[in-house]
Amino acid sequence: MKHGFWVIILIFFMSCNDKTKKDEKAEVVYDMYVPSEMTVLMKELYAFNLQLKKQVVNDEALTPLPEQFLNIHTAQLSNFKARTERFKSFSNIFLTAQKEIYNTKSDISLKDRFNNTINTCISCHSLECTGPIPKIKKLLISQ
Amino acid sequence: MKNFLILFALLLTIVACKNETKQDDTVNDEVVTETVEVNYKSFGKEIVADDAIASKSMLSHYVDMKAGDSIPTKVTLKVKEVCQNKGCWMTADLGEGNEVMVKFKDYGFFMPKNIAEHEVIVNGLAFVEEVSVDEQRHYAEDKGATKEEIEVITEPKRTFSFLADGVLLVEKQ
Repeated sequence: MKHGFWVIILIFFMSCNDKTKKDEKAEVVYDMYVPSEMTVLMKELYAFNLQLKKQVVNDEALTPLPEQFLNIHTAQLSNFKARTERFKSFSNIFLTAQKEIYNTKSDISLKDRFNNTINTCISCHSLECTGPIPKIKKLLISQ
Repeated sequence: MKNFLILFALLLTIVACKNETKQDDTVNDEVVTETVEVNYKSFGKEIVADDAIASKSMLSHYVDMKAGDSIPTKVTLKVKEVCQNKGCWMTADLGEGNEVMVKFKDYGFFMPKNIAEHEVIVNGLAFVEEVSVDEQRHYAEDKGATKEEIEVITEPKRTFSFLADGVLLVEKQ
């Protein structure tokens, strides 16, 4: 019978412990986007072309095209995106235009060659992902 | 004696439980009279919560605006949907069956994808625009719409829009 007394006391203390646990607040976990390889590459492309724009406008020597930009053909896309034939085609057009900026024998002016490159970005984004277009348009050099 | 001990222990437990309930009631009463603690999680440019107008007031401004008009403002909104791909746009309720499309300046920051029904304070530029068919279809894709639902979109739509440079996500404790 004495055990019964101690069992009741134990239950009493355990019930107190449970209450303390219930008072703890649940922490909110936010579901944030994790950038893909392509997103990171696009940000690097933007930063590079912003620098290039300043060099073109100020008639300075152009920074050579980094080899890593050729990764546009292989960089992993965000999970929800597919590397469609259209995307592959735009990637080729973009790289051709970007390399053409360095063609000093071209009949087209340097400003136009630069703007042609940026316009290929805008054309692709208008069909693939419209969000960054206003930001990309800021790269265009006004005539 | 043994029976007395058991009876005493039972009485002690009942009295303790009763006291706990009373304490809980007191705490509940206090919570009702206390101000709810509000925290803000900041996205983009740091802004303060003061002087934000209500969504209802914002709607009256939007109704009077023409496509191309814009006004700088700060408004409190309730989120309806967030882009489920990146969190790069969200829609929010303006009341009377209207909603506003919120995007983020220079694609510079994204919002959590799981904040539907949460309250936010957005700071930036309110404007009215005609959203093209292609763009509407793109947003429908982001929402996970079916091919049939996307093909139904065939006309540009007058849209209440907001370009936010800073957002506060309201966290009520």
